[in-house]
Amino acid sequence: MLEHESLKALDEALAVLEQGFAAMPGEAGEFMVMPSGMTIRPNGQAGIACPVLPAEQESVAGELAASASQNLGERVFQC
Amino acid sequence: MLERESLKALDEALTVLEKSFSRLPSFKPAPLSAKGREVLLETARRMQDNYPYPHPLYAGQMLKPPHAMARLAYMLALWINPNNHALDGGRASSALEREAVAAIATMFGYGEHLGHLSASGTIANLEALWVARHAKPGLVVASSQAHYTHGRMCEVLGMPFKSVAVDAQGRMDLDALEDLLKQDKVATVVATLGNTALGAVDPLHEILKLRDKYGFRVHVDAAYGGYFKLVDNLSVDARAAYDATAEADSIVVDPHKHGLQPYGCGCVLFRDPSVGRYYKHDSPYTYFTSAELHLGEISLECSRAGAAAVALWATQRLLPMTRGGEFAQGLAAGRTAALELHKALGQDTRYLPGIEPELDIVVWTLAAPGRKEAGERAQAVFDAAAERHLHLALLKVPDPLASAWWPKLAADSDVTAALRSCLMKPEHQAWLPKILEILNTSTSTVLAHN
Repeated sequence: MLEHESLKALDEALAVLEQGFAAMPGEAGEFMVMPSGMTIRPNGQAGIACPVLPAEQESVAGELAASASQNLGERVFQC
Repeated sequence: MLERESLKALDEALTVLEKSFSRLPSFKPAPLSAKGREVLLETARRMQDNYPYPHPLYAGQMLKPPHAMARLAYMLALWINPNNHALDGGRASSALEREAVAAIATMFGYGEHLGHLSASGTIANLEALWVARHAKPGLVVASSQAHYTHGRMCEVLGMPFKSVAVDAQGRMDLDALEDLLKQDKVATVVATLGNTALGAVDPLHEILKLRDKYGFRVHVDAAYGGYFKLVDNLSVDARAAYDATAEADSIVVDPHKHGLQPYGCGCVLFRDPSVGRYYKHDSPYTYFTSAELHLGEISLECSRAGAAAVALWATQRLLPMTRGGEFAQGLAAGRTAALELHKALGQDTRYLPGIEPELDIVVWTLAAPGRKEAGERAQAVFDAAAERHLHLALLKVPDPLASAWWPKLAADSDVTAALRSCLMKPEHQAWLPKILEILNTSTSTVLAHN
């Protein structure tokens, strides 16, 4: 029921957006590790590394989705 | 520069979320059209015209990128688009808001409390002052370095307002406050923990002693600096102020400043939950689905983004607000970077640093015969650094601060323009050598043309 095909367009749009910052300096690995303990992965093109969620922390996203599923569901459509 | 890998986790989370609707008859919302994709890409091209806020070389205004967790959780919630005004519009997100707000209240030392999220610190402060007007009508005072919202919101609320002078550290001057307390019947004192220009921390612990003597209400505006309560490398004075937060009548903090949240997330807290009586109202069509508290019943705002609560809850779940913990270490790194920048500036005769930072904001101007020329040089360095991708901010430093900090500058102007840098990102510490290198080159270029 939830459309998520559009995430591909979002991914494309982010690639376009970051072209605007292509001149910014920085090489992969120059970043310090975030204090959150998140891993660092370089994205290559702009030469700056950004934090991403490590696999063990992606479970928070799943837990969150399960919690959000308490929403009103069918009652929304009855309004 | 923009992290996109995590979109995969969002895709997975959406799959989990939609399971809750699996018993509904099949319904497929229209996908984004080809034209929609083109418009989205055009939007991305338009958005290229921005300062590089997520990059560590953006070290100007108080702009901090949201954590990936917050961004993803916010986006996840957008597929539901909950409204936290009433449980009708956001049952799960209302529960998450109450948990997230309770965790913030605990951080400040509140036990029982009343509180909720808001669109911004401005709205949260408006609400705190509105409650103050009900609880103790009369004059509101805040330091001359407090956020201008307090004077403006007092005007909105029809409350009298006065400014209190600051000391050379940019903190509320206690002697000036007591003089005012002797002259006027002050109803509420606003103490700022981390003012937005300098990051100075008002001596809340001392203000509370005056409250015992004069009987006013204390509101803490910790919109910028609230989360520094968790940091282990504060000065003795700042630590004493933060240790006293539990005694304040109300507190405002902005998760969208140092709480790693997207904009649209302020928070107001009241120590006495019974102030909820001031909100009492009814709505002919809103509060019916549950006898439980609807957040709209204790908020001046009506419709509010439930997604903001979802993002905050998820971030706090990943990075709990524990003293000296992972989240706190990120703040401490910014403060360390600020102290190191301040020290480096003090060792270079071309610069005149201001006060030692209490949080993570550094202010300095350029050495010159007088204030006017110092300000012109600061402006020129600001421009030259931006050309080299180092983005700083500018600040007009008024008297008596300018006289106290830079007594050798001839007073040929009322204010002194200075450079200002908010080192809010943990990465600023590692990037400080690069920041100093660009600052050095920019300054040399400017001074060579003087």
